[in-house]
Amino acid sequence: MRKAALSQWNATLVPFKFFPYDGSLKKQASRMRRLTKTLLIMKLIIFFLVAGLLNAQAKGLSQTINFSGKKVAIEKAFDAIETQTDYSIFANKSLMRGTRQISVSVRDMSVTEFLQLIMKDQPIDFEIINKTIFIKEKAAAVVITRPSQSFLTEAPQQEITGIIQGAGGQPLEGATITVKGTGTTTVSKADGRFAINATSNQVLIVSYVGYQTVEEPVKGRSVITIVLQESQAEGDRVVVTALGIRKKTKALTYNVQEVGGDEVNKVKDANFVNSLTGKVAGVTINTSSSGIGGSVRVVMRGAKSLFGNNNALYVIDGIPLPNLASDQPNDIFSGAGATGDGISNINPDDIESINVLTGPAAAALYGSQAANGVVLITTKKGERASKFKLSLTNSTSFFSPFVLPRFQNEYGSEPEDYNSWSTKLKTPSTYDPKDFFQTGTNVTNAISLSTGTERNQTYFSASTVNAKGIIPNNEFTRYNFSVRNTSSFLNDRMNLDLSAMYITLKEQNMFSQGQYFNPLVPVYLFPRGDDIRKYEVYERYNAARNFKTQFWPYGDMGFQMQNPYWIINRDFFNNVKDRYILSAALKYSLTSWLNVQGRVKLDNNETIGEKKYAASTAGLFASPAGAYYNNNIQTKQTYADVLLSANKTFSRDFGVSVNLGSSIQDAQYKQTGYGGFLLSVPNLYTFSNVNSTLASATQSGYHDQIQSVFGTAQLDYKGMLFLDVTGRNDWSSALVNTTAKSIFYPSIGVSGILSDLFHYHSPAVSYIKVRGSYSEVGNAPQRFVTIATYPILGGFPVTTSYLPATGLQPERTKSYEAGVNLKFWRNKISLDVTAYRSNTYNQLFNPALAPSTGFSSFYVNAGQVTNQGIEASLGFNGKITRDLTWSSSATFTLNRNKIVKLLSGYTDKTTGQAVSVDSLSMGGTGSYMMALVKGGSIGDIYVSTLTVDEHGYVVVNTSSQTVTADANTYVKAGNSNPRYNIGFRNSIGFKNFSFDFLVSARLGGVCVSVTQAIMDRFGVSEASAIARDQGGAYVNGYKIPAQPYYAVAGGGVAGVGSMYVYSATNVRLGEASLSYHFPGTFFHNRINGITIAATGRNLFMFYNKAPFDPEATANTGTYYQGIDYFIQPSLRSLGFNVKIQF
Amino acid sequence: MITTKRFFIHHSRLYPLALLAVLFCSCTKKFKEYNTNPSNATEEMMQYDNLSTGVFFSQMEQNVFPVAQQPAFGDEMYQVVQNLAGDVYSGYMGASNNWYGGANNTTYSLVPGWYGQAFGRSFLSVMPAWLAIKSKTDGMATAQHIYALAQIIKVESMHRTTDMYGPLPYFNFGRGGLTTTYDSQQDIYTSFFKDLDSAINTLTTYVRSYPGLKPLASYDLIYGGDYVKWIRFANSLKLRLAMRIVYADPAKAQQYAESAVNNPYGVMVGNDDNALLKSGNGVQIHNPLQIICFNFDDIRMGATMESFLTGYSDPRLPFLFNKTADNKYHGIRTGINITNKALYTTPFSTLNVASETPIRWMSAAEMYFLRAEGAVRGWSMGGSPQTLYQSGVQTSFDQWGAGSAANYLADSLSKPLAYTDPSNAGNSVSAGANLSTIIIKWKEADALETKLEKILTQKWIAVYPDGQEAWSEFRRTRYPKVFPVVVNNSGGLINTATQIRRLPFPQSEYQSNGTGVSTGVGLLGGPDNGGTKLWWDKKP
Repeated sequence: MRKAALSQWNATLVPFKFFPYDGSLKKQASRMRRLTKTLLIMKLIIFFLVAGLLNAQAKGLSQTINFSGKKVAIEKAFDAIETQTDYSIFANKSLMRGTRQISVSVRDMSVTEFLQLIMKDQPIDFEIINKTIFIKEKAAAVVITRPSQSFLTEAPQQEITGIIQGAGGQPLEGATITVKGTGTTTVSKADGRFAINATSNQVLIVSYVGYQTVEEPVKGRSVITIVLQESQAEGDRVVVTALGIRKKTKALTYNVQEVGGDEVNKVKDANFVNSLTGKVAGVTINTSSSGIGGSVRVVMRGAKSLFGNNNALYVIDGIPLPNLASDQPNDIFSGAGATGDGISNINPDDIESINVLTGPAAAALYGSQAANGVVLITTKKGERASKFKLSLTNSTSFFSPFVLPRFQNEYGSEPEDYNSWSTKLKTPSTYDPKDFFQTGTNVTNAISLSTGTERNQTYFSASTVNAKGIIPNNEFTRYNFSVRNTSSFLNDRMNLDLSAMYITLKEQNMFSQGQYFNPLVPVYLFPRGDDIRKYEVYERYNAARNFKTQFWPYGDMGFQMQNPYWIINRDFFNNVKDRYILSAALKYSLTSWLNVQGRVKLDNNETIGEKKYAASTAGLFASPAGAYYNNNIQTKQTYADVLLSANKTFSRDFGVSVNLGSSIQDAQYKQTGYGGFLLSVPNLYTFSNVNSTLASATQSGYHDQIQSVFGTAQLDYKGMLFLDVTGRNDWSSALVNTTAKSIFYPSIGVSGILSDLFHYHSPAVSYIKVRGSYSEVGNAPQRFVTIATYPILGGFPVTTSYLPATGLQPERTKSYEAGVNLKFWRNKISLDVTAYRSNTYNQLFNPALAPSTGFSSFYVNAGQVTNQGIEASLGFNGKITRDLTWSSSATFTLNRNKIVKLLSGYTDKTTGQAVSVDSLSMGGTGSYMMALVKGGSIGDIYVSTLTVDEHGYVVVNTSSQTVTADANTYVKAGNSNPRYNIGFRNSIGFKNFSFDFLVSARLGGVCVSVTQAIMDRFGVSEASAIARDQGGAYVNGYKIPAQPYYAVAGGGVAGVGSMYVYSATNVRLGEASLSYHFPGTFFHNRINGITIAATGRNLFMFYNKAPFDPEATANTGTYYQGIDYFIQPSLRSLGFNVKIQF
Repeated sequence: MITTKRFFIHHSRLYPLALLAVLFCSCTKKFKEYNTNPSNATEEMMQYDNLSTGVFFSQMEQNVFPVAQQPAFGDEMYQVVQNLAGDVYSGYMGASNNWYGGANNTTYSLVPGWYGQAFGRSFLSVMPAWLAIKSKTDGMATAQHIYALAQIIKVESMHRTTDMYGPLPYFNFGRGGLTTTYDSQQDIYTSFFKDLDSAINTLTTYVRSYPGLKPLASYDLIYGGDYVKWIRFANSLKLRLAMRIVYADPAKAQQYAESAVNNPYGVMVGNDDNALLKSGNGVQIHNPLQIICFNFDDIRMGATMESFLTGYSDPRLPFLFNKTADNKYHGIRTGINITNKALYTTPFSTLNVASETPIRWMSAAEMYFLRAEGAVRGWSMGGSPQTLYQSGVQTSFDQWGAGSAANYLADSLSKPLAYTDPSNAGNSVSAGANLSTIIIKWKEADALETKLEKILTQKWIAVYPDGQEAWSEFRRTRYPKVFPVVVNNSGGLINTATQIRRLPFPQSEYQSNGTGVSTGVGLLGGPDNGGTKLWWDKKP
């Protein structure tokens, strides 16, 4: 109803005049050609300058074809186009049946000419849209029917204008619009607009490859918006794989999951990786509890390395990003001054698509970095032959704490006592720790521009992120600028792609957990008999010192507690990062079947971290004058590669494509830091005011280099059966003094389209593909450990803390996977299932040594960890009615990890003593410990217990009615990892409305809350009030006095762990968005459309028994998981997005 | 099909590419440089300027009392190794903080993260440096004086460690095994005497051959490389250790004590013999107690100290502690319930310590008291008990610049005062079993135990602030009467009256040297907790 009304309103408007620039463009053509030449020279100079700077050489892909074939299927010619150029071809199989063999031999022919040549006298035709060649039935000669005057009175011809859009509102360029029953036809332009002459009672047929054809009656309208729904032609889709090599999905022998750029922009997060949660199978994602812009923990197919890195590798446009991860808190103290990881710097609006390679086989081409899987990010570039396109987006979110512990306010406290174990208050205290939090905000504005001609395209984007956390004074700002130019020269034989990104960001007071500088400790534990408003004025005039000093009469209480308002207002952790990424890629076509490309990328990052503690900050941290620390980190990564691609057809049925390459990756890290207690002038944060005798000066650095050669070969038989082989050899600087000079990493995979091979096509099962692969990849050995050196402390060298390692090898992961891809009911339902098993051995084992050895640790290759599991995704894409569409997908993740062995059968070189280690503590809080135990799993949590008798009952002292803690016994509580992860994503479209939501569930696993333990001890938890209300805490089914009980259960360093173990199972409404798209017609077509949306993240917990969000983690590494020591709550966000497209 | 030859003719432009690929992968010459930590000294650099022998002295010396400034962690290390392990048990100092809700070392709820640190410090910082010196000087006759000095510092460090824990993985240290068996404290003590004798002989020979030569002057922060002083230190240490085993092996105790005192270089006699760790040679030594007291606000005068020193109106008092706002001295009792830290900071006396205050390993005053005790026991100590006792007090007065001790030594009336906790009367100590009645003036007619209490009490005052030595001597002799804890959270493992006797073996040993530590528990002769007595802890 509404749509019709809208159309009528539009119909009264003057039709928009199309293509006003055509004429002027022609006039400018010659000038442009000259300009292009100058530009080419300039760009080449820039490119070679960069290349020369890096001491590397690079070349690139062409836009022309070299082909030679005698009586070969026309598909072979298509394959040649795809491999030699960056064009993709879409064709319907049934169309190809009618084609004849071709015999042609061409050199350096343009794609268009070549296509015209091979399609001469064939029943097919082609159409080039953007970078895609669509093969279609050859149309009968177009006859523009000119109605004779006599029909004028019946139904007058009028110009109908409109826009063709995809389901997401994006304009579709190149859709064919035909007036039914006539030869009148036209093609939509880059902005999706079209104009055609038709009468008011005629019907328009709109077809677009990859989309379902639509018949739209004109019904007297003059402006029509037509939305097309995708018809999945799976198997013909092209995805980006390792090193940026594009492959058809049907040829993949491993699992690759694609997430569109819009998926990470729908409900925007400052770190886009958070937006992948629940959308990819086989991946576990945990958000850092450090707030907006924090790091993310991404583990694919289970943790494999006991001591190495288990986080996924990030690759942008084929090139690995340097690892900019920072130290993570792993004890009860640290957590203040956190910083985001490298990937969190990326502007989500620059992302075209994300491909997730969960398995090592997919990532094998990245060799020693590949074991943990790869997140491949393809960034946007300017669109070919599109006129100026501009989009503006605003995304605004408001944050509140998602899960908080439960507090009590009925029982008060004694004066000057921080415990709330006093009598019941006459009127409950109005104190609510939640009031300490503010509404966080994140305002993200982004602009992107795209413009281009057939040969030269430019993309520019800028974005600003201005965010405030839920803890006052926690701020995060980021500015991203990106410019990219892609161009082709020399009759499209040479392609050049230049891009530059600049990122500058500021973080203030990011904290994740712990005692130090954590305002939540005093806030949660605040005595209920006192009034916190007294402390809101956190500083008072100190006559002796003649300035205001901290007001906090409670002291640090052994928790390094300070006035919480002082912490947020006077102790500052500021990080400033400047990062620029420059890259250049040059592709050149050498012969008809061979091209070469070279790429270079510089990624430089500088982080300055400052800590400023104001005078009268707790004495552990500062002198009476304060303290100042300044830490500077510079990271430079240089990457360069050359890639030679060959594509050869041997006969009618066999094709081979080969890529050979070589790369160098060079990472340099330099850190310098100086700081300490201030000497004389309070709050003057300069080096010269630091007490130099107590100052700490730090300096560290490294230089890693990996040189590699690699190759991949794919053999295909009739486009139905594929064999994929890859190999990579890494020379790594970390291998010096090990047994290996270099390491070889191979992989092999096969896939077959069974439905094509056996000609099995039924309406119910439309596509069957099976695949299997095997790979061996690695995790590089740790730098420096093979060469003994002496650290300098206080000006003098000291002995090393680890036993120097010799004979080390890199870790190796052997893995195999098998999977099926199925499509049902004309591709409406798709099911991808992959089962895998990996075995990581030769682990670089770094067990802690007993101090009695004189070393704190040593390095040895030992340890074996297996992971096996299933990752599956089920998709549905359907059109319920003409206006209602529903697409849905579910992901399922299951991983089982097992520590097969730790150190066994190792013979100590000096003593000949056989050494074995079957369990290792990986640290914790005292009440909670992560331990590696042979036969167990990575992530196993052990907890301390109360003293129990031989029957397992808690021992209660009969006279004092108290329990005791048993500090020396740890029992296994469970594992921090989920048993299963399920993500359920839905997108419902109704006309211009779209409603999306994501339910994510994590099943299984445990977590421990020390926060709850300490709150119980201080009598501020709801549990402690309930125990008092009911006259005691239940132990062995009997009540015992509450306070002494909680003094033990919540006492000691971090309570008794076994009393605070919670199930980590949780189900949440992870994301939701409701959007409305105002089409361009709504705005007289002066703009291309506006989309507005209401969005939310972490909206609701359907199920959660833990007193915190188990998906939030203070540590994005491998250990210290599933533990809450006053972590910052995860964020619930509500907000809106506005996107304006011009 | 094209032939290979044609391929190369037609594609000669591939040559540079192939060459490039080869070049890429052959320039790995710099890898060794890349994989060497640029912030550290290499083996080659360690050979310059005799660094490989000299610098490790500095490492050893800075870790006997852990003062080496690890980035940002020097003071916390001293706090858990020395302050919250020895000082609070000696009566010298009381903690003003209530770590872990009061369940911490002070209330006998021993914190694993704390009590293992002293062990780790010895074995990860002192012993590896000793081992490095040992391996450098092994078999070099001309370098044995260097090794001798390393041996003395090793004994100085490790006697403190064994006096905390008992058995240690001592003899097999550095033999390369990943697990190390433990040795009994008796065997360790036997080796201490042997090592000290051998070092004294080596250094004696050296100083006679090369008088005045100070080859380690630029690394030695204690005596600037003066070997004569080191010999005297070794004799003094030998005397201290001899007295420690007096109840376990009286004959050997007397033998070692007499040989130390009667050695030609003897034990320390004047305050210029004191072993003080202080800044020098470009190394800044700052006293961690200053930070712990004034910055952390975690430590104050001990209640026992207040009771004795105010009772004696001790002239040394203002040199040791600062008065509070009420112009008085107030100490904190160890092992009390603190609900609010603020109540235990401002009202209590801070330590009179500055950042530059040297860290005293040993002093001449202590030697006089040890000799006095030996003389009381009838040993040949070069003086009568009374003169040695009085010299000890006077030497201590001189050390603090407190003037003449004559009046003080003549005081036969003053006794330790009853103690009042201004913040919590429940912690007060009135006259009774917990309050000593010992006076200052020497009386030859006193019973042996009275004499011992008098000597040990005065030695206790003189040894301040080395709480570890004081705690060891308290355990050996029960003197002086240190106030027991009020709150005992040990779960019955540590007796309140007899007080804590040792520290448990570190958790890291249980985790990584399980078989080794089990031999240690066997040698301990009791459960591995704070209530089990050490080998020398045998006073009837």
